[in-house]
Amino acid sequence: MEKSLPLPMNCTAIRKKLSAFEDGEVSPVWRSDIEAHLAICPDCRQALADLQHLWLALEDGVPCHPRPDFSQAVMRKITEQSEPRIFDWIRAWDFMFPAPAAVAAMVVLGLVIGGWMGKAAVENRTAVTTAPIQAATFEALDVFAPTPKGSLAQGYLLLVSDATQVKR
Amino acid sequence: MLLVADGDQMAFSCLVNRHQETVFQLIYRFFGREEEANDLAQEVFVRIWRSSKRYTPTSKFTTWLYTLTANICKSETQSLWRCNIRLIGSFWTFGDNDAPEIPAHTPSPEDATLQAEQGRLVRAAIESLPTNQRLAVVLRRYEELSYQEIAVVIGCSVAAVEALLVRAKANLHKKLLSLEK
Repeated sequence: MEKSLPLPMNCTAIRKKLSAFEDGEVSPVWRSDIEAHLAICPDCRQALADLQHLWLALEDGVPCHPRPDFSQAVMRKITEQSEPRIFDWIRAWDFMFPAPAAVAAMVVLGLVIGGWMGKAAVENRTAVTTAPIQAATFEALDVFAPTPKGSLAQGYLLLVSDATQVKR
Repeated sequence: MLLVADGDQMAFSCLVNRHQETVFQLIYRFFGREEEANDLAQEVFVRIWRSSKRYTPTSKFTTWLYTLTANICKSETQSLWRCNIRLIGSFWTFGDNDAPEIPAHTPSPEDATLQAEQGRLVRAAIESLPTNQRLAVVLRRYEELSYQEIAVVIGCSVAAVEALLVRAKANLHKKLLSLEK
């Protein structure tokens, strides 16, 4: 197989704009440059002819039309739209998420929800087990309530009761 | 469209009759399947009805219509169900043995068969393109939209549209050559 030679610099730039030139979507400056180049370059002229041939080849052939009852079907759907149907929800879900992203999103969502629920369960269990212990401590301290004013015992009691109030 | 926003079903019916051919042809050329084109085209108009109250006439109605249709085409290519059906259907895509339909107005059965076969090749080639390239080709070749209009419909720059069409034409050229062989 023959290896094709690299295109000259001009041809490379022109070939990139040939599609837009064929569509009539280039600026006047580009148009005159391309026309001047095509006048002297048979390869680029052939490339343009190939593009034009391709565009013609995209002719549809057999025409196709909407069903005769298309309009009636649309009007029927808009009058039924107030009734939510299971099929609509499935189709709406299906429209919202592309296939690979849906799987990835569900996995991540599952991990996040599972982690949050697990953490909440552990914290709840810890709070439940420590609450009775604290309640018993508060009750036990009341035994020492009638202490002389200014004594070390009273000071200690005040200190402990302040600390438990702050915790509460 | 403003009458449709007020809930006027007669106005909506006129709108459907006026634009159904355009919407249907765009979707049919994008997907290459008549049944799917009918269903999705109906979906386009149902969405127009639902979103009519939010419509503001800041641009041409046809541009908005094309944008809505293009968005539905893009969504449909990404849908879960379509991926599954395409996977299952891929086992049966090689060598389409169905006889081509012969419309009544063609001069001879041989010409009609050739025409139908050409149409099948073209649809297969277009369907092989990535979504945005496919949209750009259909909107340019069949709807004759300008690059600026295509950029608005697809949601990209004019330079991006130009690049899409360059790549699309190169891909189509290769695909048509391989299909003809």
